[in-house]
Amino acid sequence: MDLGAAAPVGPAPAAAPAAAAPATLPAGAPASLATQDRGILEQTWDFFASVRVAAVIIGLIGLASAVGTLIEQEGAYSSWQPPDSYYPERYGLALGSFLLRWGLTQLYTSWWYLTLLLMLGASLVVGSLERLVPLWHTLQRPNPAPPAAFVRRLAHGFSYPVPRGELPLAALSRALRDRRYRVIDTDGRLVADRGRWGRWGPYITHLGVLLVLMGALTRAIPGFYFDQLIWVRDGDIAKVPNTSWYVRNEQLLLASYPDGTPRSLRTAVTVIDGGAEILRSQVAVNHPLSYRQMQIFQTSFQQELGKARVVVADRRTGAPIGSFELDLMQPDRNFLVGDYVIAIQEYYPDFGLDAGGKPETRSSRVQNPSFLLEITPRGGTPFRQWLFVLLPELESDTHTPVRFQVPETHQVFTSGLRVHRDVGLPGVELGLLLAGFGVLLSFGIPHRRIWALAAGDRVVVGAWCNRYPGCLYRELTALAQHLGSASYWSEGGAD
Amino acid sequence: MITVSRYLLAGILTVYVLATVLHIRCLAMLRRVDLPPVQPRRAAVLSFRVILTGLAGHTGLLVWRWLAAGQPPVVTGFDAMSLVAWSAMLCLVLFARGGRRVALGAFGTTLGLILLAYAAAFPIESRPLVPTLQSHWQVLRAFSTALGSGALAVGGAAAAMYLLRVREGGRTWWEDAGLEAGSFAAVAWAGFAALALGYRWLAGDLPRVLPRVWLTAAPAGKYLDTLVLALLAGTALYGLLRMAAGGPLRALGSRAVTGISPAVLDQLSYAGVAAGFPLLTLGTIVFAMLHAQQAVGAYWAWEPTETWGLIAWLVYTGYLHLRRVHGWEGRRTAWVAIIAFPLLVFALVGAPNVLPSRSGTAGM
Repeated sequence: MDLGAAAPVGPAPAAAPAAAAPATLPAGAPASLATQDRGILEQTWDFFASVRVAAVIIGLIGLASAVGTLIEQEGAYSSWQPPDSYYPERYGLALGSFLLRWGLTQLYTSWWYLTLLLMLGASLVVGSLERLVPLWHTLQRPNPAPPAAFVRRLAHGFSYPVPRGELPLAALSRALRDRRYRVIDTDGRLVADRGRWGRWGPYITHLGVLLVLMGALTRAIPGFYFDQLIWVRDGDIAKVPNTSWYVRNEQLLLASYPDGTPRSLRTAVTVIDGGAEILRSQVAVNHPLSYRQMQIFQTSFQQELGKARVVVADRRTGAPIGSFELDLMQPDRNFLVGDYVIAIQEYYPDFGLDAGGKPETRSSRVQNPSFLLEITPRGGTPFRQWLFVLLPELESDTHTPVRFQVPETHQVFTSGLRVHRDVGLPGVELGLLLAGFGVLLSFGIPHRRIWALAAGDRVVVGAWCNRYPGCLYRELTALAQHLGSASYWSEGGAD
Repeated sequence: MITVSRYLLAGILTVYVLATVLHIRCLAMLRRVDLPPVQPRRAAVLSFRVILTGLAGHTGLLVWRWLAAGQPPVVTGFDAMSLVAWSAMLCLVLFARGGRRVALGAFGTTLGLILLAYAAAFPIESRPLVPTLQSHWQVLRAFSTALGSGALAVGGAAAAMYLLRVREGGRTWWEDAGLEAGSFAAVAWAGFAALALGYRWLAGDLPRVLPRVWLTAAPAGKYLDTLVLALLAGTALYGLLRMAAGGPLRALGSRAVTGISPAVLDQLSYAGVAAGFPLLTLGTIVFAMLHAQQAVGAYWAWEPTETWGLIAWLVYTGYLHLRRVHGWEGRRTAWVAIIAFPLLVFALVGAPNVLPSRSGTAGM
């Protein structure tokens, strides 16, 4: 983000390294001259080295990301329909087909969005490399003797009379060393700087962002990334996919605030490996469980109906005949209630009607359990009757001899656990830390450079700072005063 | 807790209004040649002290909400915008050189006032922390983002001042139109904030202006209604101001910044962005991703909130690259700094409310 050659320091400090390394063309070479006999490879390099190109890529990624939040993405819309029929209906035929055709319905994984991210990665690598070498030279081998005019032209500076009986730069050199500057002092010329670390900040950030992108990219490598949501009922044991071990949900623990807002969501689990109970622990939101390179996250839960008690009553008198317990997860096939034998003919855990008006189950979860029962009175003819556990009063045939009541149901909790392994994750986390560290460096540590030369009976001091001009003001005024100067100059420095 | 918060808030808003008025008065005094120069200088110092008073009270409000609720104030839209306003005022105090930068003070206090009034348009009641938010990363994320946003707001204000300052030289019709549109947007925002604030305190909730047919159960209808309300309030306030100013608002703005070095304004705008960007990076990218990974095992899920944070961050990233490496400065970077700020506000309070979450876990 910050380059010696482009900064107001002018060509002096950067000119020497550019001339010393003629193998690569200087970054500032005119494009028309450069493209004449350059191969496609070099042109590509130049393309990605350009900050203008980087800015365009950044802008396009931002624009595309914004579009992605405005179009409902696949897997996020609340409809049972498949994308091919959902989008034309939701957005109209023309727009819907267009969205599907160009991957705008899965925008963040579409080929062109990933291409943009790859281009950003290329730009990060090339742009950084292109500038790192000149920066290294600027910082490690500063030019101690820029032209006198360059020193005088700097935005900040002052001059002071050469002290009697002393080398002209000795006092300045001492004062700067006291202020923790690195001072190079030769032949009546002086260059000093402080805060070089700040100059590496942008490249540390670039490295961090690159690591994040690469860490995310490792997901494409087989075996590096695994992510699956499993649903485990209270008391059930589930095999953890892609492993040889099991997890038992001892109990889902749910707590709420007085106003009903969820307060905590945890599952007490036991890990079972090789037939032995290895560890008992809790998986909670924000507190995942790690075991054998696999992480288990608590993501959600479901409430299902587990059991229901069904009362059979005589329709005419309303008097109860008897009752039976119905396990909605795995119901028994037959029940004997009074003089009636009740047999389950069909079971729909999540009842609904399909397009043809026929009963179907929408999912395997017990959301709306409904039974088609065949009831045989002793010595009578069998008849069929529907039982809707949630709505027993809803009946298709009101002429049968019995009716049902469901006085109590039991809820069963199912814990939604995310089984997750991401080999690239440490890279991503390291990248994030580097990126954060890098921006703090680049904006927290200004790089200050000072040149000085003896001209006649005066010493001319010029200074430059890579951040705002004011960052040198206080330090330089103090320095000028210390050296007995009355000629401080600054371009807008006080502000 | 709520009553104390309300009284504190009313007090702080009053002090901020006073600070704004004093700064504008001070600007007017600076224009007069018949006054001895010591008089506006005294007025400037007084205005600055009023900002300090308001900021102290605002700090008290933040601390009070933290202590009284027993949780960091990072959950609601009110908390987010209040923290942005606080940070903007703090940044202003740091940049104002003890009151010597009167014009920056006038623009900055106006902005801080709008931000806090807008915060007050959200319900002041704090909400309990749902499980996903019970994390130190989340607290860091919210604080960094809001604190960075305040500095970026001041950067945007200085950029607007810069554009108003250089408007006369090399003027183009689109720049004038843009500045006037920007003035209108700021006034509409202020008008909406004032209206919402008044209704919330006097009547309880905002009125509905659109016909019932439009106000479906979907949140879109409600937000469209809000937009219409803002436009109505904005147009009314804009009309009044324009009549009072006797011309377009951009001309009024330009009068307020005459005599200030454009280079200083340009540098101030950059300083605001440079102060806010590291915090924004930590808040919207670093801490946000570390938090998401720890909470539900997905460091990036393209949730609208995080995506809009990324978008705002990308725009500021582009700004810094164009400015530091490509040599852009002045007008072009000023426009980027201005346009980026509404995107950031949308990321803070718009996207979480308006756009549908991709997974059901956001509310947990």
